Amino acid sequence: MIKKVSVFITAVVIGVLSSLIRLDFITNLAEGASIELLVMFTANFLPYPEEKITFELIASLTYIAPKLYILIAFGDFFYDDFRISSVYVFTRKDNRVKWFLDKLFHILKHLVLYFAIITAVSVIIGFANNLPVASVQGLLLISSICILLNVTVTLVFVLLINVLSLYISCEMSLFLTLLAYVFAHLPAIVKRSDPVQHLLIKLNPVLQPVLPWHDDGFLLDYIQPLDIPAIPGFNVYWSFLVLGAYLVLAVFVGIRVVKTVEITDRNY
Amino acid sequence: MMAVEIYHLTKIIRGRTILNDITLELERGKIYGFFGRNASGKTMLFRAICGLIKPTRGEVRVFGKRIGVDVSFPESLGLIIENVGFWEQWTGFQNLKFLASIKNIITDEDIRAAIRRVGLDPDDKRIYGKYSLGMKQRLGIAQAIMEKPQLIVLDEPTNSLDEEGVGLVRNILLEEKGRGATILIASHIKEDIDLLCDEKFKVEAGRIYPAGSGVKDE
Repeated sequence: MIKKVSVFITAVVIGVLSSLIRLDFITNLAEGASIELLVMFTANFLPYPEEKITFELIASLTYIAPKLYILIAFGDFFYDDFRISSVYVFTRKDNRVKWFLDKLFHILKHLVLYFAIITAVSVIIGFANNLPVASVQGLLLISSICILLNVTVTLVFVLLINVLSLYISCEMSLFLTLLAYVFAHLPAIVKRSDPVQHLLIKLNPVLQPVLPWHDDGFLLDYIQPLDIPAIPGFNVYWSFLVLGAYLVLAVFVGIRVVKTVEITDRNY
Repeated sequence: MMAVEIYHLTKIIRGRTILNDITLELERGKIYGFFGRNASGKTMLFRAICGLIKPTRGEVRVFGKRIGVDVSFPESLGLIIENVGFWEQWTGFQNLKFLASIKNIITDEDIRAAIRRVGLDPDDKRIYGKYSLGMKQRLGIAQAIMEKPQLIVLDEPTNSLDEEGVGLVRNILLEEKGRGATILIASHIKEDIDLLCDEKFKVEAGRIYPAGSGVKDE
């Protein structure tokens, strides 16, 4: 209970800080500043690598930190049941898969709420600072896409940490997964030839939520004035397809592992 | 129908045979005792019966259902296995209420009654982390019996208990047997086994022998 409350308070704090930082960026644009852009830039923006190494600390922090926090917060979600009371909890479930699916939906619910809070806070901050809404439909669409992409990619990594924690220690699985998560952002930092860069980005789960790189028509209306290059063929449908594939794989592996993992005295 | 049927159960871990071709049939409504040295295989046998491990070979059926095939775990089970705890920051009642909420088949009053039955106070505000070892063991027994399961599996149930606690637990187990539950106890305390059990088995090097079958009882 305490953990849940602290997670949601943190979501508000992250939302406020990220939005205020991005608000400055948005309002300095010559034209086109809107609440939709603020939502997009609050947790779904990284600069496209134009030079050999492109690294913007603020953009990287606002993009990565909210996800890192929630990964850490939910990294021991399965492990807690195993470490503390696996025998008592597990044997009260109809079966292991049901236990896994209950956990999955519990995490999903919290992730949706977490990213919805961040998005809602950035909308409120936009309104409070008199930013216009270019299109209500556009705002709703962009907000929903931001939430869903962030939730899906985070869920994949939360599952990865939790499934790994059933084999190795919780701390080690958290460390390795976070390391992999951070390293996966390299295509957003290191410049390569465009075809390679585009391929690496398109297949990379952690970069799917970067909305300004997508070439959907409804996004280009907002992005084109900013001179951010859209990646050809990188659209929202593609991102959902790629993340959906990773999620299905993670869930499948999770079910396989939970069905077969033995509850013995190793670490718990 | 038998309560527990085990056929040719073998468990090998990293090349070491922990359970070796065990075949056993246990009737309903009786108390069965398993005794033997540490690491003889008692706990692993209980884990296999409860669906916590997968046998390398063989089959376990509880109330006719194949564990790991028809069901993941026995459908009406209460258990205590070594090295399992509760949430440290919650009171005893909060811990049991959370566990009871998973099946949701008993009321708060049932939980309170189970806690009182083991000699604890359901309104005790102390968190589990502040409990003595004996209190922790009593709470474990309360969670094992609170939902009135048909199969009760207890690994060293009188560990850490004082004399009064041991007597209390023995009486509870006899009452549970009277209710019709099948009870499996592993204990290194021979008195527990002798006083409570209808049938006794010695576990040695992963094999099971009926007590008095010629294998030396300890």
